[in-house]
Amino acid sequence: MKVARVIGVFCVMGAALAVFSTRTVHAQATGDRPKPPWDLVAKDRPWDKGEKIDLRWKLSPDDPDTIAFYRVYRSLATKPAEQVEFEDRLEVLVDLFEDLDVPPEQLRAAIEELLPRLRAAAASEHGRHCEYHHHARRAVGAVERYLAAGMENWELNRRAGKALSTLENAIPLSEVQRENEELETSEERKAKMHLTEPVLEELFGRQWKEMWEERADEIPADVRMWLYGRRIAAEAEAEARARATAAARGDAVRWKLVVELEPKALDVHTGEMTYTVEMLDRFQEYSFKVSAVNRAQVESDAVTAAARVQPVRQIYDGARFALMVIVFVICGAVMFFIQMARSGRPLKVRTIAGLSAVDEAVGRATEMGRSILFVAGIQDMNDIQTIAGITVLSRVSKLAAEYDARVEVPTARSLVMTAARETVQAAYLEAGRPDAYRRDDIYYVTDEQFGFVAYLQGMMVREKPAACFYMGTFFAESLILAETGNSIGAIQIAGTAMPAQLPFFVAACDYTLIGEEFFAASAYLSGEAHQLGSLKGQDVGKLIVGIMVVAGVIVATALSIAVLADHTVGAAYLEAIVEYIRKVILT
Amino acid sequence: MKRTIPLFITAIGGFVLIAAVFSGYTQSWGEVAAIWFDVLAAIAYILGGGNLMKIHLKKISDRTEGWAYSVVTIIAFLATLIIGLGKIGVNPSEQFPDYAWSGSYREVGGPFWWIYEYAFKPLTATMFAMLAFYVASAAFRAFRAKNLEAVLLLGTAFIILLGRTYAGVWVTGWLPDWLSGLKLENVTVTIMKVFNTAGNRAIMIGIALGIASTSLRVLLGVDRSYLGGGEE
Repeated sequence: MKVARVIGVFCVMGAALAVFSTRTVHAQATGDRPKPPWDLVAKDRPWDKGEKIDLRWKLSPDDPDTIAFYRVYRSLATKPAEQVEFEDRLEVLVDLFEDLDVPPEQLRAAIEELLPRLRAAAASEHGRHCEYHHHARRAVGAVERYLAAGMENWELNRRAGKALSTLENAIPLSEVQRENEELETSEERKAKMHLTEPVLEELFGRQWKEMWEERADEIPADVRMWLYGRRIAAEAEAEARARATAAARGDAVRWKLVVELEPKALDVHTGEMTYTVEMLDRFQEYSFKVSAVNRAQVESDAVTAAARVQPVRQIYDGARFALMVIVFVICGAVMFFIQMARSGRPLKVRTIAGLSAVDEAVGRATEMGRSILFVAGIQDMNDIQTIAGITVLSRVSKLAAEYDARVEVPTARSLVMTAARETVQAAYLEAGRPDAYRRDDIYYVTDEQFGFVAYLQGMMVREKPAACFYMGTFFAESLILAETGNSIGAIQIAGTAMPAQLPFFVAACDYTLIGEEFFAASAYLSGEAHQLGSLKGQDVGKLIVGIMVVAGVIVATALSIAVLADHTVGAAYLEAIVEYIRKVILT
Repeated sequence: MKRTIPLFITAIGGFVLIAAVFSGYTQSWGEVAAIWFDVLAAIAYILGGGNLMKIHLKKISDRTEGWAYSVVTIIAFLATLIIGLGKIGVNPSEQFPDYAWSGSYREVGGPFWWIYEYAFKPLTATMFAMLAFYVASAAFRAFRAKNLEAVLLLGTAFIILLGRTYAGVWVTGWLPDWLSGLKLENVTVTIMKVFNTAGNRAIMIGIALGIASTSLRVLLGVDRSYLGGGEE
């Protein structure tokens, strides 16, 4: 009966889609220049982190079937003129530091002229081009120390020069500069590598040319290349400055193709298209233009947006709204069930075999008089799986303390060792056996993955622990550990959230906590009502996920039906929904 | 106090970083927190090194079983540490030829590079190579057809193994085009793309929810076992 209803729903959807059917006309493409799109509007994307601009334009008045796609261009970002000037002066100052014949007065004047700008660069907004500001701060410090020493200390002179040179190299390039550099690394640059005499003269000046002729062998190839690189950089700078000036006048914008967009049926239906240009620099203003290209690959004139637009960073990132709702609902549910459990409402949690076997494993080790091996993965304390592993260790060591069994915890990270020691010590205290706690049983081995495995393998073969717990993040070592444990006949319980390692643990261990079971372990083993409440809260998350999966499957299936039935407008609407789910909710 | 302060730091840090994800101004805070952690972890290396020395020297002193391995460990540890930190055998860099330590400690041909290239890498590769044998032994045990599930697993694994080799192409290569979906290489792709992906995603969703729940328990101080127990 239910199956019949589902089929009925799909039939109704299919019939509804028929309403949106459109006729397909294949117009003959011509070589004539198509009419341009019009009314291009560029607006800063509201509620974003300052890197997107929304574009909207009306489609070309030509027959839509003759237009193959629309080209979206944006202007290349340049640097403000004052920044370019600062970089020029910095370059001059670096050269002065490198030139040993410069009189101190001239150097002092140049330093004092640039120092306020240097200080401003060091104090400007932190976080953007962080490396640049860091080097600016270092340069200011080095130059001030040099000045304070009366400009007579040679070591301080060298350090200041080095710091300024480092700063010069750390200055981020603008897009225009980067593009120039890319051009220079092309075949054209390779061709220039042949250092002919005129090029050398141009590069090194007369003095250098004389030196070249007299002691050519003394100039190593890398010095020549370095000098050549400086010339290229200077050229790029000069060009960038010229273009920045031209861009400021608005008469020579350099354009970059952003995307070629094929109009969809929905766009043709509404007569306009939208596109969001992403990954922009919020410190730059941009111009945009759009052109139409017909099926004969002839491009129309472009329509340019009336004003330059600068992305603005907002306090709230609207792109993450869906994520925020999901976080609130899931976290709210978890907190609600924790509160409910605290109020005394009974909660039922299904039996997890792997966790029920913890008692058995610890008991077996006690009976056999052998130790228990606990491995909390190979990641550090900033990994949630390590934290989950440590919480399980707390329960295991408490049991071990009660049974008077020995727990050995080799770790691959020093911080994990410290945390594990605290945890085990507290567990022994809680069990009323603080005297039985052995600090040296929890120790650091190595950070190196296979070094750690080699140690564990050797230790397992030598000491033959009766029970092995693997709880945390594991990679390729999972199977080596589990198989070694299997070969010595230990009872093995593993838990990890690494999907690729789960099959290995399942194959070689007695019990495996798969994904969420591993995270539930601590709450499950504690038996505390409020901790179990958090597990109930997870179920709400599963319900939401289930609903979204079903909704997504229905929409995607309907989209497939619409495409098969050639219902282009209906398919366009459904595709928009699928894209929204895929790009906004799922990412 | 020993529990309260870490709990307070955890809660404040955790909730601030969650909130930071939703604001354009604060999205880099997570990176800053990661740098703080790196600083802590770097300092903890000293702790780890000290512990390593203590444990192995104690083993040597007590002559416990396998103490000779501890001797090897300590010699290797100290030799690598001294050679690496002291930049022994490293040539000065071209930029600062007057400074003996200005070269890179990883200089090709240097002693540290030699240790890495001819001791560390072969040893690591040896450990990794053992994996092949363990995969075979684990597969042999897992694929015993003792019940229906094991038979299904065995059958699927057999198809995947065949489909990923030339034998699979050869065995079903004679099938006509209209039956191409039954060719082993195509069946393999379907199994991996549909069944495997579906199962994998189900596990991933469970993991994501588990992480959210565990994180909340930790941030709210409901689960304090990672700090060494629940009581003050």
